Amino acid sequence: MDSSQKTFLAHLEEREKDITQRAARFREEGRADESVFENIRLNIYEIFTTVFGVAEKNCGGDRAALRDFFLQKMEQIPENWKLSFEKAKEHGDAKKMHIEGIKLETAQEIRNIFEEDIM
Amino acid sequence: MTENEAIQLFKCLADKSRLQILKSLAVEDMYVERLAERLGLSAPTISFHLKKLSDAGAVKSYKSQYYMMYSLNPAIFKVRILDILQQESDEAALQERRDAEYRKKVLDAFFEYGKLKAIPAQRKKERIVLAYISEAFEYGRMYSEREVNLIISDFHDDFCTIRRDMISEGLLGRSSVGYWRMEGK
Repeated sequence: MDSSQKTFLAHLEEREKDITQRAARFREEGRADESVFENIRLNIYEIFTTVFGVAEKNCGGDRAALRDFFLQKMEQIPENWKLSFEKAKEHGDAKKMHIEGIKLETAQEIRNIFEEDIM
Repeated sequence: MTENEAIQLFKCLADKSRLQILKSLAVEDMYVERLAERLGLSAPTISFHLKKLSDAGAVKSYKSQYYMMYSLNPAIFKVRILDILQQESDEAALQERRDAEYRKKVLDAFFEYGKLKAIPAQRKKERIVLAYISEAFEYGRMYSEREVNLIISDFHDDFCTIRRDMISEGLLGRSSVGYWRMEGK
């Protein structure tokens, strides 16, 4: 693992810690739904941390292959979330829209970190 | 307000952000972006909470020029909690039905062609059986001990035990004048 990959993972870990703390704070403050939203954000980070681990394992030291693999997954995985978001929007389902929106927003956040650290 | 509506409302109110939204709306009607700015939450989060509040009947919305404005629904906050508690609950009706089914089951098991097969050993079951026998007595009429024994013997030969148990269960009253069926038992 090269230093940029280590930096990327460290950034993800840092964000996960922040989100976990925020979820706990919201729970303590009696903001249960917002605490759940933070846990959704955390799940997305965990998903892409796992995906990155798989990319690393599959691509060995090939940096370009790792980048392509990860970016491909970053396109593929949120595809269903986009569809769900659109469907929720169509039916005026604010709750679902918000949840799918959080997933998409978090995926974009991770992509931004990835582009900054790896590309 | 039905029990389920009350539960939905209480659940909805048990959230700090939603209470903050309601507090803001208590000051004046607002639109999503204004609430988001005021409470430091994102607009989608505010929309999410407003949807929940609206589903629970706590807020109403109306269109004003380009904005969808939200306001408190004062009617729902005027409902007294005590009134909600005093309302007959759906659960109580369900319980009543379960009790009736259980009563029927006990009576079917212990009576055959109108005769009591055996005095139940369990107090709960015996109480059901005795209450059923007490229906053979009229309210507001005095009975002699002989009359009581005759009525009970139509159901079971051991009228002494049953008579005594009906008195101890408060189904029959007794004085020096005679016996009577107790009200409301």
